[in-house]
Amino acid sequence: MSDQRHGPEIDAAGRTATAVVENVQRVIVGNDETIEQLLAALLGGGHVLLEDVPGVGKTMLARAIAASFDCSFKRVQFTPDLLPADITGSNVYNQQTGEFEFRPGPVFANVVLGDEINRAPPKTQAALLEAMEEQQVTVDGETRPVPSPFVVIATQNTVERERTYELPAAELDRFMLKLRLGYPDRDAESEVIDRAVGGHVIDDVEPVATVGALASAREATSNVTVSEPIRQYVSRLAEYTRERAQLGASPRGSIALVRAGQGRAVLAGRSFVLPDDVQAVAPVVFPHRMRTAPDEPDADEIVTAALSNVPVEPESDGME
Amino acid sequence: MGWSELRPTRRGIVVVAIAAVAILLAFGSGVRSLHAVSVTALLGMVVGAGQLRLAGRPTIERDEPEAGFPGERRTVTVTVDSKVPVTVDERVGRGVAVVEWPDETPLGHGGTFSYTIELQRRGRRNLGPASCEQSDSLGLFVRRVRPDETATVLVYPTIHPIDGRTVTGVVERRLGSGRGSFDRLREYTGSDTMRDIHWRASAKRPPDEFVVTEHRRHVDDDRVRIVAEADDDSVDEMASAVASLAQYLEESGIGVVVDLPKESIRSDPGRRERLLRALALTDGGSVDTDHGRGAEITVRGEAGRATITVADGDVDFETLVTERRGVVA
Amino acid sequence: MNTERVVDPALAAVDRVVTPRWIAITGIAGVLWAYLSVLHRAVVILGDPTALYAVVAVAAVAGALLSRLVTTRTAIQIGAVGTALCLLVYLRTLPGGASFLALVWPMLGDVLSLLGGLSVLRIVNADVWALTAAPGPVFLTTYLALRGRYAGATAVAGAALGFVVLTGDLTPTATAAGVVGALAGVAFGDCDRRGERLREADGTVVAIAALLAAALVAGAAPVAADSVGAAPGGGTPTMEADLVYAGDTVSISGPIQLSPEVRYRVQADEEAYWRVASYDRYTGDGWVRSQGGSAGDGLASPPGDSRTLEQEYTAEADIATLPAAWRATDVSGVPVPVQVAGNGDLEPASPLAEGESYDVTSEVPTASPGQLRSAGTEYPDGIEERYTQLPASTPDRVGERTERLTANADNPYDTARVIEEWMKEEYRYSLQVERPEGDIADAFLFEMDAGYCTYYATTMVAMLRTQGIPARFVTGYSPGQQVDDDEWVVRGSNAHAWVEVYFPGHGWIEFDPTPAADRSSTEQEQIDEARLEGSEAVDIDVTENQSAAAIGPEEDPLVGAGETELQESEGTGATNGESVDGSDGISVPVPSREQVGIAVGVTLFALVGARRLGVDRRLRRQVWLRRLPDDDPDRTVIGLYRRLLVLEDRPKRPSETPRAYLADADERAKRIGSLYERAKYGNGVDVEEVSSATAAYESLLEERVRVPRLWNRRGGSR
Repeated sequence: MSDQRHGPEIDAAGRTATAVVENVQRVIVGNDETIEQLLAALLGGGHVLLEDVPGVGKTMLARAIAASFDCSFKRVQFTPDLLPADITGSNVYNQQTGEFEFRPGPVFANVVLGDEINRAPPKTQAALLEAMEEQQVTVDGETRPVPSPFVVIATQNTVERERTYELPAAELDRFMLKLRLGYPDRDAESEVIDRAVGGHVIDDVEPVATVGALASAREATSNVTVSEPIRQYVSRLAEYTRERAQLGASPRGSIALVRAGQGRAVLAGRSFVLPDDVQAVAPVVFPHRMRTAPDEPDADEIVTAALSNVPVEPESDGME
Repeated sequence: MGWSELRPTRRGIVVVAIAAVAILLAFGSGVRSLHAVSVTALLGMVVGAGQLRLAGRPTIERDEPEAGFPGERRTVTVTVDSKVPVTVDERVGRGVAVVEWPDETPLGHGGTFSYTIELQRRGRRNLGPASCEQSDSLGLFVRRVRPDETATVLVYPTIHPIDGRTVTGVVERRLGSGRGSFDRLREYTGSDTMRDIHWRASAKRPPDEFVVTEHRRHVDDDRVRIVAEADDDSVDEMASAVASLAQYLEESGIGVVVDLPKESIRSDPGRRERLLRALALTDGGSVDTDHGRGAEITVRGEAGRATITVADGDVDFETLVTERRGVVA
Repeated sequence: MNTERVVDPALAAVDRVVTPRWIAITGIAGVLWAYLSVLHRAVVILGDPTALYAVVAVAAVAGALLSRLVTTRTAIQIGAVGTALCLLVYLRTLPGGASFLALVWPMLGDVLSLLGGLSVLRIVNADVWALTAAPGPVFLTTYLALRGRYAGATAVAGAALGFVVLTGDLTPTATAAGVVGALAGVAFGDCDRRGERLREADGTVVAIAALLAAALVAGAAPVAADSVGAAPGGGTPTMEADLVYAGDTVSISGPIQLSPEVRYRVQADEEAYWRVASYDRYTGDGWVRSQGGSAGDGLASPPGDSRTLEQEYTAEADIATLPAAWRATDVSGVPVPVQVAGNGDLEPASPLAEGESYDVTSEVPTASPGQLRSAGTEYPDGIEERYTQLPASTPDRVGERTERLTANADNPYDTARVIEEWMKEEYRYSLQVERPEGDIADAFLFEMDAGYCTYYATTMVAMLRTQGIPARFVTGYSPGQQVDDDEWVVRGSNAHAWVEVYFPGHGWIEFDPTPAADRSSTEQEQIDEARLEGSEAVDIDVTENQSAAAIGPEEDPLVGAGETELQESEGTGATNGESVDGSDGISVPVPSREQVGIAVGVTLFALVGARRLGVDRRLRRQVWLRRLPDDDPDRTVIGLYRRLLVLEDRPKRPSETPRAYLADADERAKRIGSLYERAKYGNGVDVEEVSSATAAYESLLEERVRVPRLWNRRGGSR
């Protein structure tokens, strides 16, 4: 039926994504759900914020994803003295040619891992955020597009972080998901050690898809059917959070939820979004965009409550 | 509840009278239909009394209004659930007053109505219990019931704008203090001091641009400690003084810690509900001397007045109150 | 908490239309209806009801229009003025004409006597009175009701109702219904004033329904009695009670018995019918003596030839009426005061005790048939109008039948004789007949083949009146048991009804269509029975052991010896063509109005009760479960899924997704679930998939709904 218009592409995208997930799972132990969520964000065209304790392998995760798609990968370590030019690149004078050459910065890669993004000065953060938002950077008045596809995986350390150091809400809003990588459980941990001791497994990650496949997968994901009932469900969820938190989910948050839902649908091999998809991603899409008062329930609790209380379909006793 | 609580209405008396007249006339004239009148009328009375007797008490739910300051108005929405028509007469406690009451509160068989109160005095004030008059659906009998449900509304102490000259010393000392480890760099603005410049980072930047470190404030250093005590007859004044001081300090960006007789509250700019709540509910009493140490401001309520003690000395709170609103913007 | 439930659209539609306002108005209209039904009856009896419909319609429309335009005070003023004008109109139609003041006193007297139980049917110009009594209450009630002044409207309608209750014209059932209607009017009026909707006003609905049911149950015994026509206190009525002691209103009964007690002795030179009273107004199911009907000349002597008859009456038991042969010209020796009505009725102030006696001198008309034939048809106005009255509800076929029967008679006398003889031949005398529904004369002519004197006389008078011949219904006693040459003993069993016909120049002449021999033999039977039982009052010394056979000569004692030759019309041959078999005619019982009312009331109560208990909702749900949706594929699947939710044991939480809810469910349910997902969230389903879903559902339905669940087994919140 109307499936057929986009059906094949969506199927292909699903197969691609599943292959990547499996591929990454070979090197990243545990955190299966997180890997899937990450892929869903990837398909939905969003950026991801990773929150974790140091040393659990977020760098490896980002690298593995990039490697699976056979696309370029760059890592940036953010420090308080980092300048915007360190992100975007700058024009350097080449003595031999006598002209200024543009030396691209790390942002010119398909997958950019930004570590400890909250330690950088605002202007530097702004450079990265501009790239995320607008798919381009401006250097010395000249605008250059970043590669496509382009995804930023940023991290914040939890250990030294104090509340007052969180990124402002407006910035956090630009990340589709915030995921947590936890410590692996005992069995998994031993496996991690095992692998690490035996050399970096990361070098063994073979590509299972191409950049082009990622691009078409994203395209296909944007065609996943989002029905009116789903849109309304998402709205109801967002409204619920707005009523109970000081700052609830914004319209951008709702859009992010829908896109992440589309991503999940593709991973499941479906051409339409189900409320189950929405429920699966809401806990990683909404909370980081919300602000709550100190003596009120925190954002995670509010989102959990939303999922338990907000009806999936509007109430109806009607018998037709 | 029993039968004895039922009282006939005017309509009920008319119906009984009609029945009585019909019975009397029936004796005289032998018209059979008169019996139909009296029997039916009396059956109506029986049905009405029975229905009212069997009907349960009404239940009342009120939307608790948000807390507020004296002088503010709040709307209370009342929902009454009753199987028979009911009229509601609400009574409110002292400290709030009803200023608007809807024209018609015969509610039919339950329903919702709203009325407006004005908050007047600090404290937790009662809304209700209400006095209800239920009647049967035919309008022949009534009875009065008093459902227990009440709601409350919290009234904060009045906040007066104050002239800060006496308190200025405290404020100044506060604003200038505290150095924690920096964590942020930002661009130099005019209000920064030279010593905040971070030279190493600035070297990397174009000649005119500098970056300064931004201090992280250590949580507790920032707050002004206020100790508040009062005799039982002057709690309102004490609370009002404390609230007003806290407001003034907050407007300068300074949080407070208030030691009240029973608890100690922290209040930050923008999040003052906890303090106001505690002030609304506080009773008289005194604060342990342990706690009282390190207080920069002491507020004492006595004989109907509040006295502020700052390092410079005592001052009556009244003298601090200024007429000009918005002067401490 | 009366939270807003999402309601079935059908109920919502009903709720929009049937508001408390309209129920209140209906209740008040019911009260008014009861009032108007009495007026309607009066108008029908006397003439054409069309005028009443018109008057009521105009008054109602006026009330409705003005309810939007003028204030209450103005409306009341209009109502008062209108009523006064109507009253004036009525007064002008009274005999005695235009002098208003002269009529005020009698009018007040009339009003008081009406309130004391005088039926409106007895008012002289009852039809005009009804027309003038209608507009005021109708206008005011309509105005007030549409204006929302329910108490006022109820008061006006209730007062009108009270009036006709006091005159005795309204049946108890209609009265009870009126009272319930009034209470419904004010109760639902309260709901309207409070702005409630019907759904919220459950309490009022239940209260009124309960009252209606209780009233009907309480009234059931008398109502049953009403519709059968038996007298309160049980037992078959006696002929005497029905006729002689009827007072102003004769109600015609069904089965009847004779009371054989001796009443009085008459000493006279010859026998006669000992007349008690005559009735001028036929209601279709009985007779009423209108006030005008007592107008006349009292003790005057009849015009035309007559002979004198002296009578002496001695009471053998307490007697409350004073019989006298037609026509009495002098009464003397009565121990109590006596009033003589214009139509010759003697009305004693109190009953005569046993042993008391009185004397009457009468002039018995002796006109010959020939004289009567040539009497002509120039009737005086007063006589003609009053004594040719027939209710507008009288079927035309009565007149047509009479026409055919008397086609060969060309003068009133012959017409009367034909009818008289024909009735004697055609009908059997019987005391055990079922009272027919509808017009008595019509029923007797077309449905019955037997009856007793009341039926014969009623029908003959009705038939004569269809031909424009003034006639009236007369009650009294037949001559009784002759114990001596000039003495008769009269018993209760001799109570009788016959006919008087007016002839210009001769006055009222007696006719009797009841077969005399049958009657007297029946009377004898009753007396013999009573003698066997040993009842005491059956005999006085002179009557013992004598046959009480009354004189039932073949020859009619009423009209002088002469021609008895009759010329029956050709039409009589055809009379046997009419189907007159079966005394009751139709054997299918038609429910009476009261029974219909009870049925309606009980049904209403049952419906309200069921609704309150939610039975209707459960029933609807069961029906809905079985009625498979038949729509486009997506909607069908959605409909199946919804039904599935009801079928499943555990109620689905609103925040549960379909997939999560059906995770542990049966394969068939899962199938429906996944198709539902596609239909609702995806790109739709196609027809083959729908049929597989339908099959799955049907199979589940069959399993789950073996026992229809009319009660809610799930304890979940609803």
